[in-house]
Amino acid sequence: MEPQQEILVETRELSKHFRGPRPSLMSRRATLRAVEKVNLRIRRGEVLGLVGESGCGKSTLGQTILNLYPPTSGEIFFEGDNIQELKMGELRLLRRKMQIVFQDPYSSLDPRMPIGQAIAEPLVIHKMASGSELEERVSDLLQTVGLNPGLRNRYPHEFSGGQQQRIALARALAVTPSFLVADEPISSMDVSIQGQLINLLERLREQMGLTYLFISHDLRMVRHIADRVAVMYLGRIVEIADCDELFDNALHPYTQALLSAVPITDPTAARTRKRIRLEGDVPSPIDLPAGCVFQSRCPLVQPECAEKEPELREMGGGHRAACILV
Amino acid sequence: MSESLLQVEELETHLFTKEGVLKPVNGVSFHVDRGETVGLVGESGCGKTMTALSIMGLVPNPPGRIVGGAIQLDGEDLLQLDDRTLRTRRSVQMGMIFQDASTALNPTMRVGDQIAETMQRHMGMNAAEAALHATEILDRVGIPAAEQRLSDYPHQFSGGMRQRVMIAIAICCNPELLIADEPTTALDVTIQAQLLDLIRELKEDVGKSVLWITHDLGVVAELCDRVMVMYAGQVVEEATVEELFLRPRHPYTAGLLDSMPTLEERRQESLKTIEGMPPNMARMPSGCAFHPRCEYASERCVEEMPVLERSGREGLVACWHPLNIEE
Repeated sequence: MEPQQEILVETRELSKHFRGPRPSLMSRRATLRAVEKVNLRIRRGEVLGLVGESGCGKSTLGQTILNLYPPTSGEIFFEGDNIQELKMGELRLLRRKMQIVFQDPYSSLDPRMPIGQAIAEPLVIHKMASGSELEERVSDLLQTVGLNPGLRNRYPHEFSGGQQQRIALARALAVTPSFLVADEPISSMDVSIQGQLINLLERLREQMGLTYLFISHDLRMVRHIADRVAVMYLGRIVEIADCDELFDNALHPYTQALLSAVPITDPTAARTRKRIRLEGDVPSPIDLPAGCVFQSRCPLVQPECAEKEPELREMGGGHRAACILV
Repeated sequence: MSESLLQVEELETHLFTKEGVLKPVNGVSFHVDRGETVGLVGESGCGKTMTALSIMGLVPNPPGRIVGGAIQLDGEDLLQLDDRTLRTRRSVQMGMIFQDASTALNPTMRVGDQIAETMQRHMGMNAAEAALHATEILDRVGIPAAEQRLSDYPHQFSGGMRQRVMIAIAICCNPELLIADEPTTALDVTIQAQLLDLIRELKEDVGKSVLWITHDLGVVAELCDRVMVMYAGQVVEEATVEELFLRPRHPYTAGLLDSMPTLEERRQESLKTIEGMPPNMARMPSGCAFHPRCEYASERCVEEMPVLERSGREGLVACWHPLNIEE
């Protein structure tokens, strides 16, 4: 990846907080910091993998970037425009260029709408096609995602999970976006189906010049598809680097532990490799202590870690990590 | 070789539905030796969970019923037992761990009582003994401050900790066999790794046998000694874990292994895949159930169903055109 490449999406100090539960009847509501001061640049044409465990804020970040959640603070730029400063009409136009597919395709499709109509709907809303041209576009899209255009009058429940995800993908791609957030798109699929969808995503990226934010907890799949990878923990990006660099030379203790926890598919190596085990669970993102968010589980924790939250520092070659020990 | 702890022979569990008779377990045979960890792998709908439920005597009826075969646990055929005896056998000889601890545990009962109840009923302990023992067990499965947590309810535990509580209940009567059905699937990898360590400890310290049911070949590589691969209600391959990963015999196994990217190296080319989808149980293909998706399929595969046979020096495979065979 060349450093000079155009930045398609950028976030500056982006935060998204939710109101948490009230600890007791009379006290103030706690704040849940789902995304905290995230600075991220996504280059045109790349696949940025976003990994982390459940509750780390990766999905919230994806949806906040698309302005599906209004950010609490910070800025989002798309093709250089600050999207919070856009007027409603301009934002709607921008929506065409950024799309999302979710983990559960069935709940993102209207069960009472034939799939052809579901795919046509965004084209109609954005006035991009009508009449026979619309029909043709829908057929093309179905073919692009590997489905028979003859199935356009069927309903979502008549398809398998993998096919439903293809339909959701066709609907997202109908408006020819340049940026696609794929939020755990293959997590509910079987292994043999996952591969088919990943290959489809890769082919579409080449054919349509797409940029992906690929959100996943499956590190093996991320290694396969991503150009760069960002690791999230409790709302923060703790490490980001080129894909091979991150997997071969992880610097942050959390990334190292995460990689070490992934079961590997070589039985001999699996039994001999060194493991880093994290104790305990991910702490609640409500009322975190001062200092590094990872301190409660970090095997290398130092007294200094409780003092100040470490910044994401450049380590060379675009590899950045937020840890005082590296 | 010692006598097998669990011996399943030609097991057939059918579901009697409006669409007809489905055969999620269609002549499954395998064994688990003492001290051995055996993986049962397959994709959703291949019949692996129904196989587990059959062994545990928990097949939902209706629509399900075991219609044939034998399940020998420690030399005794479970299918011949009356309900009452089976219930005792189940608790004392097999521990069960399910995927979703929040539905397997009783939400209105303190976890200490749930563990103690099992021991009081099946081990003849009185309440005081059981409570004492429950603390030990919770401590054994790695729950910090075990004594205080006995009086907590399941919802007060995190997902990983709830899974540990379920393991505690499964091992409290000291069964020889643990049956685990996707116990780590819903968990994050760092929590999954903790639980895999716990299971490893249990099998090394106490010499438990484990039947581990999963779709994740990575977990199998980490944990199991021997593996069975299921497809469409049948075991299509059985081998030691080293053999299976090194020299898969069945094209389906090979396809599964190829379609998984690895963490160790990046493959530049696109992922290999198995085209198509697993068959609908109501409309099974003729011959070998895998033939519509198999690149090696011949006319024989369409007509004749292959049986699970010894192949090469070790391992079993049900295929007319097995791969990687050297004599």
